[in-house]
Amino acid sequence: MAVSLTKGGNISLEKAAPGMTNAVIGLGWDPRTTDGAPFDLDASVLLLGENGKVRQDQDFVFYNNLTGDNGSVQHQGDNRTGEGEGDDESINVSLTQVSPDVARIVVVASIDQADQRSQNFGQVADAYIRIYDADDPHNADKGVRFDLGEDASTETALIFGELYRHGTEWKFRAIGQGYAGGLASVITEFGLQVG
Amino acid sequence: MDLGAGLDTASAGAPAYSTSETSGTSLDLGSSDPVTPPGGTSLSLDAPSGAVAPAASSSRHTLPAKHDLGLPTIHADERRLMTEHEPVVELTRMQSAAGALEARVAVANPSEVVLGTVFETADGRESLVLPGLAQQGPDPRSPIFRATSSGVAVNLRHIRGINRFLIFAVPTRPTKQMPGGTVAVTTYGRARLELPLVAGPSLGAQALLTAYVVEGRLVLRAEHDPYSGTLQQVTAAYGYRELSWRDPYTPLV
Amino acid sequence: MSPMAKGANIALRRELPDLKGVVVGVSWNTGGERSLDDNLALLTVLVGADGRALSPEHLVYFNQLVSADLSTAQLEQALGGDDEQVEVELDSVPDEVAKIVFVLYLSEGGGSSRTLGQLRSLVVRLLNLDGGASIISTVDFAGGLGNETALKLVELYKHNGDWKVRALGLGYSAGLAGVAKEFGVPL
Repeated sequence: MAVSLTKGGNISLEKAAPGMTNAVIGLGWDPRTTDGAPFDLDASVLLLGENGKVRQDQDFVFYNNLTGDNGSVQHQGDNRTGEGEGDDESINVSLTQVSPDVARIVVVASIDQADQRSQNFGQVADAYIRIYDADDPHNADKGVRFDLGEDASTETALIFGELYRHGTEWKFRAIGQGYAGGLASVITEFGLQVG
Repeated sequence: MDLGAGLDTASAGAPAYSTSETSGTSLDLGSSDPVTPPGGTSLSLDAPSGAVAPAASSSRHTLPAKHDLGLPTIHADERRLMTEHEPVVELTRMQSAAGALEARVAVANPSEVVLGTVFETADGRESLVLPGLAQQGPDPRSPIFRATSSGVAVNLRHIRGINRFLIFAVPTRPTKQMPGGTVAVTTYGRARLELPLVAGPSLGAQALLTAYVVEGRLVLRAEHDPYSGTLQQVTAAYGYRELSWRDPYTPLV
Repeated sequence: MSPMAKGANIALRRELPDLKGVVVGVSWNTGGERSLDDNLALLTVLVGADGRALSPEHLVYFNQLVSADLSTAQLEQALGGDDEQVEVELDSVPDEVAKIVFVLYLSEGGGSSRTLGQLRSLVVRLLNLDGGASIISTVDFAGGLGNETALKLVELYKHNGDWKVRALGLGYSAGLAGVAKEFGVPL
């Protein structure tokens, strides 16, 4: 049973996956069954320095920039429709390989062109984002999971949570903060310009 | 469940002018002793089916009576020739309520025959649609039945407003010669029933298909009636006796 | 409470812990367009965990007013300003039912092609089955409609032991056939 995260909750992954060194961020949803533009959800991460901002544009790892921080962060590729079983998009983070000047890794789920298409998470069936231990994939259910359609239903982007350094280890802090302005409204907070 | 109207009138279904050969080939739902039409199909409304209401008797909702008719069924996209041996098909409640039931005629020269429908509504009124006479009925502003030169259609959104109907063919030549061909009856799910249209002389109208609404389900029967008659005779033979006539071929509508 | 936006959901028993059942009322304005009035139909589907209708007897519509399990029933004649009403006794809903989806469609048997985009308004509201007090209503779905001929309006679904309602407003241009395809309803 996954630790289910409700809005604004703050749950540590530590209990579920102690001493995790490789994290998987998984995003899943069901393809649209009704007419109209497909639901195109995206998983992305932002690598932040001590000042809470990205060090450079490449620290934003998303569908157009699949590799970050010399390969310690690897996005497995864009899925435009939700077709397929299990996680439809995933991002692998080799925590031991992350550069020392990366203090936090913020995990974001968003809907592409949500505004133009009048979409929100609540319209998407079985949409979730989760994080679990890559070295224990059979227990992926033990990680932290956020049901996007339940607690971020009218939002179009969500800060799921952040990986942060704690001594020599990494921990995960769940945040669950929704945004109605899509991915752009999230990333500008972290020093990126949308253009 | 009000079976009364449909059943009583249905019992008049044996054509008045027919010989014993044809009596009993219509669905005789009114008989207390159900007939077995050719093909071994039997309509027994006496015994409820095995479906028993769930134990949730505290519910404010109740299911209407549901009898297993035990008749042949048809599924979406299936095509079936309605033979004399197996002339009956029972549609599901959904098939009986989805879109329209459409009957179209396929003959070499489509201008030689038209289809029409005589029907009885749930409130017991009888009426008729026929191209050139009355294209839509019973209320032209909210029609349930429509007749065009290519066939007839029954809007099943209003299945609950129907007791029964009869689809018939009328040859358009002055000789009243019926062209040979096929009448195809299709459901919204594209199940397709095919009825032969037999070439030969006619008296003006030929019954093709009878339909009865039984507990929300349409029971369709290809009549294979060896006799034709004037339109007045044919409609009366199948139990539609409330119509008024200008002449034996032309109802007052 | 402000109207529910498309996609929004609420937990029914968070505010009403003793809620036994709901009435889902659908009201629309066709602007007097008779071919719309004559052919609109509400279809309620009791859906299993696999996303399919439990059985053809677990559909509720004008030709089958009560689900086989008796939990869900459409009124022959809606009351109080709604065009259609469906009563759901939440505790009678079988365990196999994951959600109950309410769909408005335009039946295609009338010989003229119309779309739900022609509706002037389309609103769903939930009432307490016990006493009829209003619980919540949706935004007007008519605004965003175009060539749809069937529209998923709202769904009641089980979540963490509670019943929730979600406003959907998502549709198909394939009408009843589109609905039947999604929920595995034989036609």
